[in-house]
Amino acid sequence: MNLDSQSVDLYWTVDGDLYFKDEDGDVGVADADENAILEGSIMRRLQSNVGDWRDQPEIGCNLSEFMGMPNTAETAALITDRIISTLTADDLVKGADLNVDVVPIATNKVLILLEVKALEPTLEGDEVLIGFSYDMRDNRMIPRMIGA
Amino acid sequence: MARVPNLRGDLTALKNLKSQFTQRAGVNHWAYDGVTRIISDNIAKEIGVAQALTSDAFESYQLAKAIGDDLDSLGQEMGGVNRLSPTFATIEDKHKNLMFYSTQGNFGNTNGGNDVIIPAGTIVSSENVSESIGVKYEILENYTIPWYEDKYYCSARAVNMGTGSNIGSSVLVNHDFKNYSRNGEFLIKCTNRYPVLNGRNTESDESFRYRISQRIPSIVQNNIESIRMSGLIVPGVLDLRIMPGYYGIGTVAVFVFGADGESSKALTEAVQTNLMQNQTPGLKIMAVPGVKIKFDFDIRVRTERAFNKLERDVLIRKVKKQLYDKLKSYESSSILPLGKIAIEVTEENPDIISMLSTDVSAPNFEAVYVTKFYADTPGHTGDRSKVIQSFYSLGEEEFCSLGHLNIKFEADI
Repeated sequence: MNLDSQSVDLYWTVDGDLYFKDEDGDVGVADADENAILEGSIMRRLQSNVGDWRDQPEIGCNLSEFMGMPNTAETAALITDRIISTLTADDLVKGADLNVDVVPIATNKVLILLEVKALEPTLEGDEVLIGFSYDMRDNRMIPRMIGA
Repeated sequence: MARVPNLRGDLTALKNLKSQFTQRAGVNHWAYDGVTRIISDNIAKEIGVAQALTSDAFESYQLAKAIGDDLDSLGQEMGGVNRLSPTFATIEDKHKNLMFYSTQGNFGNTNGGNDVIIPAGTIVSSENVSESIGVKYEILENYTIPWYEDKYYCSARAVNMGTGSNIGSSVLVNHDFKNYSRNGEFLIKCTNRYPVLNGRNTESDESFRYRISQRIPSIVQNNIESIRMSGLIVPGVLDLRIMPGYYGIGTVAVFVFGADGESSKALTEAVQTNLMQNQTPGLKIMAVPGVKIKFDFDIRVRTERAFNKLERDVLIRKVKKQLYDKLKSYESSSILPLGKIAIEVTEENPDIISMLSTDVSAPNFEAVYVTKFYADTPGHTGDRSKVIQSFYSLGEEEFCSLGHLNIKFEADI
């Protein structure tokens, strides 16, 4: 894993913006606290297609390739494989530390749930839960609050 | 001359950005997918592109750096001079060069006693006119050759522009003129008595830059172009390589090359004499002969049968010529691919099955040695060293020549 409990990066929102703090207007940072840096790295990859980042051509999951596919168990398996390979290819997450579930929640929509071993334990436990829905008709990804 | 400000490169910009992010925001995550890394890379790249554009724009206004259209504009602005256009090589009849002549006395003998009319558009050529290769010239006007003449001069112009149509004497010996009665016997022939050298390509940037510089008195006195011209006007000098600082600060070495890169003491001294006009306090310009790299080859060749002495001598001469030609052909690229040369020599010689080598350091040749010395060194002596790579890289001041060739024959029995 290229992240550890001391890693600090700029905070990148799920909307794709830098975050500026309300109190002093300074740029926000993501670190191991609340595992924000880990969540950010994962979401950045899953929300990107290869080629979106000009100078980082390796980044991306290409979930858009599943747009228009039937919402079946086979498609869910393909999405699962794609996410696992994207996150484990360069050891961002070890395979043993990652669990991915893809479940249908509507005709064209699946809920994607990731359990990842946390950089630092949180009140909820040793794992970070990340969830988002993916609309295979509109190619839209919406983060979901898990366990809230 | 103005200099481009020393702009910081994109790597420096990237380093500074990273440093600032680390110091001010505590960022320490620089993996390729990190947000800060992505932002820094992009900003640094944009800075690099902007600086490159700035440098390009700046240099396009500098006489020493401008090329192409930029140089054309500078020529107009600074000296009011235009780049020389390409021209057709031409031959004029008054120069008595391109000649039609009869091989049977006068022209009347070739055409039933009548005058011969050579029309405009007749092609004279170095090869058969019907061939697509060769240099072709076109007769420019209709010529009526009186029957009593035995030779007649005409004007002609090259079909193609540029120096490619420049020719030596006695090259234009074919024509497509057939309008005479005994044309089947090819009794009318043609030739050019003198070389034709007035075809010209588009003027090169280097030459044009020099001409512009001559219009600007403040830079005419001492610059690389003037040093070059001081040397090139010496008869026998074909090229000069000018290397500032070669012998230390305040020195300029001017390497002198004659035909085939050779140089002599007399040639170097003549260039040095001319360079004296360029000497100024604090600057020592020294003419030196080019550095000659002599290649000695040890070769073991495998042949299908045992060759007698005569056959061996023929093959040795052939290989020697091939090696010389190949060294010279690769010389301009500065890299001599010795391994490739060995393969080419083998492929071009059906008598050679293969070359054998017990030394992996110089593939295919048994051994290759180089000796390095100034071209005017008496006896051409110097330290001899073995080449331990499959290629040899020539310096800017170096040229190559073939030394000793030692071939051992091993026949398949």
